[in-house]
Amino acid sequence: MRTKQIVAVSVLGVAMLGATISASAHHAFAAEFDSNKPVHFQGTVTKMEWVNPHAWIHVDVKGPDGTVANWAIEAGTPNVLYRRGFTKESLLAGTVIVVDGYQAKDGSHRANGRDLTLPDGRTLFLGSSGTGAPYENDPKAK
Amino acid sequence: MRVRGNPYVFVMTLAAVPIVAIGLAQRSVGQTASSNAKSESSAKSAANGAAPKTAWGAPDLQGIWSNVAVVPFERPKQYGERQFLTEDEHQKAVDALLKRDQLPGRDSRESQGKDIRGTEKDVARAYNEHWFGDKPTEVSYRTSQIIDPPDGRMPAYTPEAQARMKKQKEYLDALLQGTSGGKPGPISPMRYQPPPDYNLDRMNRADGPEDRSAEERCFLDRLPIVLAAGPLTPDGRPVGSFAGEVRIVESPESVDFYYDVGQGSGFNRVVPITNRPHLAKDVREYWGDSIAHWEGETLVVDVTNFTHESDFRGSRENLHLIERYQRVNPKTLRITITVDDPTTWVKPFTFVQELRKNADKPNMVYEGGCHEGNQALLDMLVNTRAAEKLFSEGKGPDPAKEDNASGGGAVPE
Repeated sequence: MRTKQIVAVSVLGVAMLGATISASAHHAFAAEFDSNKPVHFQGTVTKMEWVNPHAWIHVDVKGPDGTVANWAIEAGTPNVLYRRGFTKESLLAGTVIVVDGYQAKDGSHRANGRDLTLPDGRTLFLGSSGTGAPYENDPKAK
Repeated sequence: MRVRGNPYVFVMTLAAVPIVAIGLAQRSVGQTASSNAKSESSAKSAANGAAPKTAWGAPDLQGIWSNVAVVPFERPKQYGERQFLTEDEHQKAVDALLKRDQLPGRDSRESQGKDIRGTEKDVARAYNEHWFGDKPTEVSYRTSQIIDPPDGRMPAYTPEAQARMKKQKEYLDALLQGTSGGKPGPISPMRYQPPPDYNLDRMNRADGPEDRSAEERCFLDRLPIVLAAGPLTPDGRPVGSFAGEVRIVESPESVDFYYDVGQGSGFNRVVPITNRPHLAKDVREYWGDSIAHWEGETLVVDVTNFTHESDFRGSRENLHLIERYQRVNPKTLRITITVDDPTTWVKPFTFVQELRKNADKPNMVYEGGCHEGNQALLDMLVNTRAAEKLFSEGKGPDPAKEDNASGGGAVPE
């Protein structure tokens, strides 16, 4: 468990750790997905591709007119997902998930999976230890 | 993540800090973990048992190893030539790290206090933090990974290297000009020129595969491997995000390193134990030519003959590494690497990583194979073409004026 203790950052501590550390992503998602096309929908998983460097989750999404479209959602990298306790059994076909992300620039049914949750709001990493994400600590923070 | 290019590198605590691995959780709720790790001598005395040997009598480096503690690559200037933190300094650094772990990061949809929802930076960040895993909670007592020069800082770049790197930076900056990630101004004419050097960076252009970064093109990770820090579970499994692990397997004739790093960019490296000379100068290899020998308890690996597609902090084909692997105790592998390239730095430098043994069971390393499903590279090219078409039809913004290159940290930049 993570500490709930908030300790004042000392000048020393900042010097040691750096105030602006970022985990460098390897991927220019903005070249692929469109910040002007946010998507938010509920879909039913049809399959999951466990491929490097990114897994892809395929979901059927029913539109307002009742037609169903299959979307491909770009997800994290398999070795990291495995270590997070996310296995092939975590997202079986038929599972309903909520996707919050951005659509591909070419308008195809592809999106990045910014947030993926179950319909009741639970995260997909139920079996893993805490990540420190704010809504784990405070559901309202999301 | 890769830590390359980031001055703060996450490396595990050493033999000097045997208590920290399991101590941080307790420490975070107010207890004070003891430490005996303030000097090299205490580091040595902390060894809890003799390092094991293989069946044929060689030092046994085998197993899965990872980093658990944060330590800057270069030493903050305030520490001068001091290699280790005091107890008080260490505690403050731990407190600062734990406080930083509380930052909301991706899910705040903020960067430096600004709401970034709907921006290129928001897209670049890709996922919420659940994808990335637990954050490091330990801090090494080392003030820096670099132990030589004595000030713990990288030596100066040669004038030649400075000119080379400046030119590349100017080019990358020019391609970001006029976007949210660059300086104000019109689209630079440099956008229509080739890069000054073989490109390995994320540049703000996607005219062809070689415009994209080495990682996006699934170039596998490059030497020297500097593992980021991530926590271990109580049963010895890593749960960090892209921190990475290395599995070592030995035979009497060779030592095999499998690096499970990055996003499928892991690779296998078989190093022969041999007296043969290095390959001829005109034979170049992506991971260089590694030859090893034992010096007492230490495996010494000499690596040369890199290609121009290698890159370590600005050093390319002239990189020369001398890696020293020593199992200082059953749970700690110390890797001391001397880096030399007279065309890049005015003198060599040496840095240390100390890795902690993971559990043999239940634990695994996972195959890389980045190319197997790298749809993202194709998507970047296809979608940039689509964006250009939409722009030409008056239906979308000019992709040249968008930041499609920078950003993407899992925590606020």
